[in-house]
Amino acid sequence: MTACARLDHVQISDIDQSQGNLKPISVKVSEFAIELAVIADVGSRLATNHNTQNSLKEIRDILALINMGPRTGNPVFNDNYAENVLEQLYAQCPTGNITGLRSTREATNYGAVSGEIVRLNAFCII
Amino acid sequence: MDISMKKLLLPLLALSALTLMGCTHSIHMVHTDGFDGQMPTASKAKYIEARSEQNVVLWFADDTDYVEEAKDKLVKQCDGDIRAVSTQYSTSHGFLHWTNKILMKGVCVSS
Amino acid sequence: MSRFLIALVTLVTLSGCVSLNSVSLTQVPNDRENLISSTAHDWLFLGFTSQNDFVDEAVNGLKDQCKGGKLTGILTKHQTTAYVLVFKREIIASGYCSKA
Repeated sequence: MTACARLDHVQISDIDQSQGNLKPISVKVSEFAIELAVIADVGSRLATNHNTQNSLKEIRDILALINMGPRTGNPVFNDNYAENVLEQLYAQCPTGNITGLRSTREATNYGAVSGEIVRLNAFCII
Repeated sequence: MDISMKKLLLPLLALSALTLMGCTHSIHMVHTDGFDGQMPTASKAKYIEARSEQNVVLWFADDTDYVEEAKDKLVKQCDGDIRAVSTQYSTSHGFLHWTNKILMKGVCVSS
Repeated sequence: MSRFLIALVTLVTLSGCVSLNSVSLTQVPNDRENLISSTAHDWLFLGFTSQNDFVDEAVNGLKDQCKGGKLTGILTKHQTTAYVLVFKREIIASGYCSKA
């Protein structure tokens, strides 16, 4: 099954190649995300039974009301998944000297379902 | 089961599922910066972090001062340089309201 | 009743809803004596624009206040305030200026 890639935000920091050899390091965290309101909406359009259609529309509206707010990609049920990316990246670099840091907010998208990703790539100066 | 009960069943199931799963969230961006200069090794790094929030009801918000609040909290925890600074901006969704959140982290390097 | 409605419409029109687009903070220095800040904005009607030059205004504002010095600990906020049919885009930047 193929998925679409989505890019929301990318940032590139200074790259210092004068202090030593560079070893690539990387941290990627991902969280399952689903837009239930969209699924309920699609379900209501596909349903043949009138009562089921109405029920699914009600669910869609309830979901939209109880999950209001700005969103980047599909919503997740846990917002702690990217809290320790900095520590994880730092732990991969024994010297502690990091350069060429890239922060990426992206996703692997299957429509209403996606993997919401925070990725840090960098070089450790060794 | 009569028809009215059947009509209520799906919304009730959805509400129960959501109550069990909790509210939804969205991480908008994570920004990192500040690896200039000699850094302590990972085992000796002193991590500091600060959080702030803003509750918004139906889009009505008149400032974004909660960002400065997080920065001030972070800065107060360190007398030296704050390096390897990461800034996460996210939103927790709710019923007709939401909570914008800032999480700032860094490594305090005392001179 | 009509006065109340007019007042309500005026209030809603003039009071905007601000939302944050992005935020970033760079390495914060030890010397935090001299905090400077700069803001720049532009107005959009119906969300249409062909340029983002106001961002440079904010950068130049910071540079002008720290001539010959080093600017670090830069906190940058990009926010948008939505009014009826009109949007105000803003860059609010602050940083610490140290002069050797």
